[in-house]
Amino acid sequence: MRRLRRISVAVALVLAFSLTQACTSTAAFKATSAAVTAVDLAMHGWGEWVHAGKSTPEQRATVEKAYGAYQAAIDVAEKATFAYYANAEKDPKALRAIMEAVTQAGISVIVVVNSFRTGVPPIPVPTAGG
Amino acid sequence: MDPVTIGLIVQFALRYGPDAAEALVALFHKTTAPTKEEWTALFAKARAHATAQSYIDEAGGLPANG
Repeated sequence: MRRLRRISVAVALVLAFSLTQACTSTAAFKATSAAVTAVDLAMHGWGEWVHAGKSTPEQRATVEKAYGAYQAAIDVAEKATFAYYANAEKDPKALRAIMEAVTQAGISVIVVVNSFRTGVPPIPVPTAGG
Repeated sequence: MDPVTIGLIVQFALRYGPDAAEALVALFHKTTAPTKEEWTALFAKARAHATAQSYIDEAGGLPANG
């Protein structure tokens, strides 16, 4: 139960960061860091869950797919971040795109893991854009 | 700091230890613009596990009967 609460807290944290922060580089960094931290926390819990023999092959495939999408979002975000710094004219929209790509993919991972561990189907997650 | 954030920090400390939790608290209070190096470190952290399987392996792998 404590682990489930931890996942819920992680989702809440990522949402809070991504939905309420003004789009500055500091805010984008905080939101992206929160997403990376929360996904890492959720995935460590998932690893323990699988090791305990509580998952099915289908669930593992679903989590692998969601995590793959998250890693792809990290790729996009990394390229966008360094393009942002390379460009003399800083565009806040680029930061928002970075933040959204990572937080939305991260939340998807957390929600999928959470649904398998609680047995409750995932609920729609609001997008970072509102 | 709101209760949700405090809860996350406590749980984070239980898993990763006080030093890591302290770094998380510093992140929450960060007011300066991030440097490229900080972004690089963040993305490296995100890539530390390339696949979901690596978390499972780290936890000890699939059970023998799984």
